[in-house]
Amino acid sequence: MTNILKANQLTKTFGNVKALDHCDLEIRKGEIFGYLGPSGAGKTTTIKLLTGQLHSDAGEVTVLGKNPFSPEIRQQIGIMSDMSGLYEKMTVYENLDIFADIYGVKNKKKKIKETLEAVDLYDNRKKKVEKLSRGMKQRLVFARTILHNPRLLFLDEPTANLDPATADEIRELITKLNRNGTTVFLTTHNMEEADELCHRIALLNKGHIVECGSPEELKLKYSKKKVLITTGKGKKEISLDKNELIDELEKTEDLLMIHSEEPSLRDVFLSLTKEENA
Amino acid sequence: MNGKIMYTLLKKDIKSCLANKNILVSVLIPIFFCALYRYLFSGIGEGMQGFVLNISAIFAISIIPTSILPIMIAEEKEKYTLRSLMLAHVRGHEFLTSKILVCLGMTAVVSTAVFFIAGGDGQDYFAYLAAAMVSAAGLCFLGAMAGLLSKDQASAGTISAPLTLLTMLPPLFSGFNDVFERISAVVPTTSFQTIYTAVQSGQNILSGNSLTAIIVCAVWIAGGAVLFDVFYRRKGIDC
Ligand SMILES: Nc1ncnc2c1ncn2[C@@H]1O[C@H](COP(=O)(O)OP(=O)(O)OP(=O)(O)O)[C@@H](O)[C@H]1O
Ligand SMILES: [Mg+2]
Repeated sequence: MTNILKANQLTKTFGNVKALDHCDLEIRKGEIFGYLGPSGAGKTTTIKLLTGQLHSDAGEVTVLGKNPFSPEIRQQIGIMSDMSGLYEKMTVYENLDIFADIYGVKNKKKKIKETLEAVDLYDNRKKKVEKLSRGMKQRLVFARTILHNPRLLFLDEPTANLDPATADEIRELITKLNRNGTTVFLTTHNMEEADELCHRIALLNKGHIVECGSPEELKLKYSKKKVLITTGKGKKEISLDKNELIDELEKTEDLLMIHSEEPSLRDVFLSLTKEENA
Repeated sequence: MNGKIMYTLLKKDIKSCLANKNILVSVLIPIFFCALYRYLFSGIGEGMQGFVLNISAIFAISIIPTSILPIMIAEEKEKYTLRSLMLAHVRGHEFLTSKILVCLGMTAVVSTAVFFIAGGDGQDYFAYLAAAMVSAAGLCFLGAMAGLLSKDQASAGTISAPLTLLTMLPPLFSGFNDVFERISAVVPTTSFQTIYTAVQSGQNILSGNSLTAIIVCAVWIAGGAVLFDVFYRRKGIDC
């Protein structure tokens, strides 16, 4: 697979805070890449550096083969920030209309209609934004982000502060878009979400990337390699070793359950970020 | 600067102004005052009419660039719509140019309304309008800087209220004493008054006091642009 984005030794300091410290990143075409890390780890800063909103102190970024500050890039990427605002006094339709004009979207009316239908807001197109629920607003922000068919999407906590049903809707939209070929760079604090959506994940802590791989790889790597055996007498944890396991099973008569003790992504996240903090 | 983006921003800014009650009220105040004064002083005579027009026009010329402009800029910061525009790669100067043009447009509309309500002489209209626009343009960068400085509409109000007073009062008090006169001579609103007075009395506006007044506005525009640019480079628009 080819890389759609590459960052080399990316570094950014604010005063005496090292927000990002020599980070390497590679995003492959067509994947959903999860970027996880505790609050203040440097996720939003990374997105800003990757999308030409901020200059790095050191390091290089190539997005779609170009410098992130080059003007051609803006047609090809979509950014949903954790603080994207809408024109509250205008209608749903007018909000998209403005951005369609800014991006110079072709077949504007048709495209806006399609996009509004995709986020299920077409029937509300004439409503003022201030009258929408929070979830509807978030879907509208999402619609605005994908209006110009970007090849690469940056989503900074797209499901933060949403009720579970609306968060599910946004996740469905992300998956659908990705199936149609859009590459996604996603930050989230929701580990289940990352596990469910992402093909690969990078774990960021205090400006360092501490781990990178598919959710399965990470879970295997940090597995405690233990098995939980439940018998009539109670539970017992033994290590995942073939001989030990056979010995143990031979001794046992009233076996009820065997459970592998696989860590969740949350466990991996917590152990890695705690280790670093200690 | 991208023409299509400028057109879109202008359309949006005009629409938002018409939908913003605070802005509409501020714009209507000079018109309302003008109508009220006209009515109150209707029996008093010729001199009063000039006074009413002068005071209403100065009101419009100072309040729109120094109060409404910063509020328009701050509103987009407060609601994070400026952030959204920047993410769509709208440039800071495109955003600000559109706002300044809309404010100059509003100044033109309001000073025109005031001119005809107060019963100005139709012959002088274009010279009057030109004087008003030059003077308002002189104040726009000041207003834009106030907008850059404020995080939200409330802080924009706090910064802009004294600015509006400081630009509105000097021409009205210039006759009080020497100090006032000297200070007021370098304020663009006084320039408007001086130029328009010259126009009314049929003098050549490119000579004497009137020429000085035009130079004052030019200095404000040029100096404001330079200062604003330095300020903008150091502070950025939204960080
Ligand atoms: N403009 C700025 N000026 C000063 N410090 C900043 C600035 N932006 C970010 N920082 C600092 O850089 C560090 C990383 O911030 P960043 O916003 O990237 O974190 P994050 O991972 O996105 O956190 P969160 O999950 O809370 O959104 C923090 O310590 C933050 O205080
Ligand atoms: Mg963040």
